[in-house]
Amino acid sequence: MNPLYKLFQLNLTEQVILVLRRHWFVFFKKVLIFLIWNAVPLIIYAILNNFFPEILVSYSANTLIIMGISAYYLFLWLVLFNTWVNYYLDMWVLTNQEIIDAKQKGLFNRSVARQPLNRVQDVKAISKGYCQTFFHYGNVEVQTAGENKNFIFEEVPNPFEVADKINDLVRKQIKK
Amino acid sequence: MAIPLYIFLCLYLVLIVVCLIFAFFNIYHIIRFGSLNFTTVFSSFLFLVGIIVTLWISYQWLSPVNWQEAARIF
Repeated sequence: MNPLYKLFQLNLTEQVILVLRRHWFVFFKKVLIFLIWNAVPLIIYAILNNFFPEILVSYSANTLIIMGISAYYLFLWLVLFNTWVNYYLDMWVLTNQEIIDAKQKGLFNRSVARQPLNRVQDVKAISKGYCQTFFHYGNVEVQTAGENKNFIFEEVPNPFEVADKINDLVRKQIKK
Repeated sequence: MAIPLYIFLCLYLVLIVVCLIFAFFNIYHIIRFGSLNFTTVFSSFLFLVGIIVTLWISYQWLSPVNWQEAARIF
């Protein structure tokens, strides 16, 4: 059985149509930033080595530098993993009955919102900018009836196909 | 002003403990809310390997240090 049924307590009559996460390029951009930050200690070391070589000769300074670099890389690795967790746990699930918006905002803040398909009023897909156009990703805005705020599927792959899919399912739901 | 190196070691160890606590919560979250599948297990495994390798290399560098020695700050 699909673990999403247990995770989101779906009815057994529901059929999972789409499970969406942000496009892989969104995570890749963060990995690139991580790689740049990786080079910072090397740059600092090169500066010290060239302009203040006497610091690196000192025994205690060397020890402090090793501890600093170790703590820096541990922290950086932790930040990358945290970014991955946020990326992986942010998801949008489309079933034949409802839309589920699960968001992980940081470590201790998770929200899950759901709307039945029959409350969907309008669906809009937006893909803007070079990256989104080239890699075929963008936002899908789902406007719903009532006081609940709109659902936004952020930076999901193939937003226009997703919007079509939601519209199809809404139409089928209305016919029932 | 001279500060013994073991004071910095204590600070470093506190930082490692904080890092490990955050690591635990991250792994807990991904397994609790992402369910137990290949992606979650593999990414957690990769993360733990990274932590262990970093700590092991740090240990190799720091184990011969005489922690009673003082660091002159000013």
